Amino acid sequence: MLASYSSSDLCTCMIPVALIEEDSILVQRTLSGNQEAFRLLYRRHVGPVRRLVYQMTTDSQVLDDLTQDVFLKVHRNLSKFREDAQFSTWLFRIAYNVCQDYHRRKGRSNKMVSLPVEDLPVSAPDAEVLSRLDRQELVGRALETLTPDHRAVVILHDLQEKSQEEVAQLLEVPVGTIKSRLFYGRRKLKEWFSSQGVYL
Amino acid sequence: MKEPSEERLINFLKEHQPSPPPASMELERGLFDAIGNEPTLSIASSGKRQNILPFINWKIGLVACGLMIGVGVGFNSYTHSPIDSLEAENLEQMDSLYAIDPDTGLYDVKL
Repeated sequence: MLASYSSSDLCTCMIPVALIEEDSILVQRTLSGNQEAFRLLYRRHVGPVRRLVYQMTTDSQVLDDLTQDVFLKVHRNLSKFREDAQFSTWLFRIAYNVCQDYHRRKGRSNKMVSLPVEDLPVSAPDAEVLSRLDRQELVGRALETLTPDHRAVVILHDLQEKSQEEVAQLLEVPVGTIKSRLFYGRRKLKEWFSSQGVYL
Repeated sequence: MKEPSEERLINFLKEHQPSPPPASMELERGLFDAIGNEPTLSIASSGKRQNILPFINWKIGLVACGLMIGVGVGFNSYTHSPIDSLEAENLEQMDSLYAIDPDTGLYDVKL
């Protein structure tokens, strides 16, 4: 099954002809020792994976290292991939786990310096102030205020436009949990934006 | 059904979602170098492991069964084997030296 990505994601693939072959066929070819098949898989999925890793970590310093880590893990565990699942779902689960590991490590090392949301500097409710701010950075900071679990659901569902069922399968939790995390995640984002003078 | 404020929030997030900086050319090269440098990452070996696993699943059981039958048959034939000549001679010698006492039912030296 071919993964469904937006046109902007597909622009990152250098070889459009790779789309002709399905992921499962490329997986089989990789397992039989064809490195080029894995290169095609990598080029097809690296864009969306990098985007997920970046939005989950908002740290460009570690982005490429974590992306490399994701694909190394995919390569190591390719024989464990079950054909009944979608390759992109399996790949995103590995990417999510790599991000979770990163947050655990970072959480341990940054425990003493992490600030609660209330301590973040509050901007004036001024359109001019907002226009001066990089809005992407603002959204990035807003996402950072969420717990990794809530952030993952908001990113996968609201930004990457995956269905609730797909996100549930990817994170291996019930659909009800996804709905609950979406509700609390969005509520917290709205509160944070309000505190920054951005009323949505 | 999404609330209008939720709809606005999602649209704002989508419109201004953080985009990663462009990937460096080193990323792909580094990844495939790392794959090539790790012998344990060989895809061919993962295929071999798949071939070994079914063997472990059912052939080990078969081998264990065969061993148990072999040991059982061997032990049975050993315990029911005829006494060899040396052992028989020894027994006869013992018999000539000892006898069962009819009163006590114990072996006793023949007088």
